[in-house]
Amino acid sequence: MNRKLLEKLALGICVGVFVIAAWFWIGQIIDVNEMLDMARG
Amino acid sequence: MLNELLLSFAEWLDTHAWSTNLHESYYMYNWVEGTHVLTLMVFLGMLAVIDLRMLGLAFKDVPASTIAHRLDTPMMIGFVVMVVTGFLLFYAIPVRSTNSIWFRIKVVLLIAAGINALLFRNKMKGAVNSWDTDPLPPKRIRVGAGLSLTLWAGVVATGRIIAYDWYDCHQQMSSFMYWAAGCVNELAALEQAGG
Amino acid sequence: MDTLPFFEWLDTSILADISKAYGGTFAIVQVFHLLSMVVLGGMILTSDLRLLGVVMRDVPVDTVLDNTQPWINRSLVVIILTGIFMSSAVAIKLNYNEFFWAKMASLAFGIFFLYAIKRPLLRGDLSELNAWTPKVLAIASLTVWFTVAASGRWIGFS
Repeated sequence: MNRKLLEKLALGICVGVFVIAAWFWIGQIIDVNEMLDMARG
Repeated sequence: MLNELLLSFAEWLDTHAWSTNLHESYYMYNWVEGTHVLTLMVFLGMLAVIDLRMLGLAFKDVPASTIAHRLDTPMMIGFVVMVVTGFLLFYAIPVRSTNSIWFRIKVVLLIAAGINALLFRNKMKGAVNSWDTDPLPPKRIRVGAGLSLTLWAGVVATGRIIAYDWYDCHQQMSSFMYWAAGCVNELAALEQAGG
Repeated sequence: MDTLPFFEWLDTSILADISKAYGGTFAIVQVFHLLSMVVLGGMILTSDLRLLGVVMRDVPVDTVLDNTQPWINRSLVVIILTGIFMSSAVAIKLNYNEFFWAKMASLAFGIFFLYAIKRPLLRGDLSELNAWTPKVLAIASLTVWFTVAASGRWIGFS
């Protein structure tokens, strides 16, 4: 494959990675309420 | 004597509200434990790259001191995170950890790995003007690197196995194992029954 | 796609018999899984931090990528083999564990990204590419492998 084309494809895939990872981790793991409860002791 | 002292210290830690909170908080405890495990890749990952270079198994075309120096900072950052989260994990579950034979072996291996690292650092200092660019470093260096990898692998292994209760105090064990795991009360009960 | 039959089969396989009959075997395999994760993580971190210009700026990118690749390959093989063994012990449970599927998806993607995108693109003259392309790739790579490792840890928690 043409290197310039591969570069564009790669960057597009990277953007997809960032979007999906942000959705997955922020949505699945971080429970803000639980952390606040913890901080209150 | 030491066993009694360690146990009463652990029991004292256990009375802290924060210790209980951390243990019982599903998210906080898992975050701390997850961070501890994942930081392995930063601390031991960097250490593995350095040790593999010293064994002549990776980065043979790069001077040994370059690898050791350039990866030192990320390795030490990882080390600090591991120590902090490690202490927090102990603080969350002090009594069971103190009475875990695996945790005890882990601490011994940690001390051994620390001593080896100090000795190894001194040996490394001689690298720059002699064997630095050799693909295969001298034997004493390879022995130190091999020992380092073995000891740290032992630390990881015993750390992981703490989670299993095969030799916890509530199990039926010999008096030696009760003593080695620091099961003070169980050992006393066993001796009373036997004596 | 119904994946349950595969896990039912795995659950009755010889691997599952071994891992369920001897708890110690499972623990030892788990330790090797963890140790190869350390090597994989160390090599990926070294190469991606080099791409980001954080470490080893005085060592050429090519040299770093070529030296880390063999160890990435080896540790991936050990991780996958030990991973299959471990999953046979809890096969049915895994089929319903969302973190297991997150891990499998990110692992498959990570392997594709590494061998089909990152390596082919970064091999050769980097000055032909945008200056920040290697950096973006490095951040994406770190994100994906972090997700593989972290969701793996979360399989045990959930």
